[in-house]
Amino acid sequence: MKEQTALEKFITSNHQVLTPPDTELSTILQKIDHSTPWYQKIDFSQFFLVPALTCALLILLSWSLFYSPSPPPSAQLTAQFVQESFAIFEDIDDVTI
Amino acid sequence: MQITRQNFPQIYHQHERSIRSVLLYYAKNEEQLSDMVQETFIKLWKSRHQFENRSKLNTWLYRIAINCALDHLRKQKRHTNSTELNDNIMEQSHLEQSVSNQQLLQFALRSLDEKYRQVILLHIIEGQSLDEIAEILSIPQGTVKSRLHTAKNQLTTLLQQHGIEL
Repeated sequence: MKEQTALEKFITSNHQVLTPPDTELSTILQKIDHSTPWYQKIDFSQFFLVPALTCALLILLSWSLFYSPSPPPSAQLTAQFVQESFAIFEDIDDVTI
Repeated sequence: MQITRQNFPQIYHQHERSIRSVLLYYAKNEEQLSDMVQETFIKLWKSRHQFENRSKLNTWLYRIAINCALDHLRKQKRHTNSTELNDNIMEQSHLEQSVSNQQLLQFALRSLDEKYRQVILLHIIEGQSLDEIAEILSIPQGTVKSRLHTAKNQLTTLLQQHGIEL
């Protein structure tokens, strides 16, 4: 490292270091926020999350409301079997013993 | 490095001390010093899109601070003569008979011509290289070297005139 001259030593040892006022940063941030237009304040990374989630939820909801799946084949067969069985009993009722 | 609202407090804490050190020799009092520091950081925020990592952040900040100081000097000159201001400081100091070395340094640096003051502050107090100073002040490196040489000579003479042995 380069050796300091007498002048440099005098300057560095007598240079006053001042501490900032406590409110300085908050004042700067306030002024920054005040000078920034609203559309620049939006954090788009988070902003797009809300409509994306809403859309997903709406799709799910509409699917569950409007999409009625046809019953599985086994359920269809059961229903047919029950119907036919009842029909047989109805026929039996008509028979007079 | 991008300057965002989120990392702005961190940038302030990293650079505030250096900026304050430079601006100290331009401000009339602590209140004005704080105003100048605030102005520097607000200008940094407003010019953040121009920054785009073309230089180091501290180089960019020093440039803003120096411009800010020059603006204040111009405004001050409209109201008072700067040499008149320095004379007043020294008159007061003589009356007090016990001027501290800190005050003497302030007086001596303020007495220097603006172009010499800048290089002394950036080189000796802030430890910036000749290369960096050339970039901050947008002048050739040779000019920085010659200004620094003249500044040191003038400052040495001034301080010796006031009883400092160098």
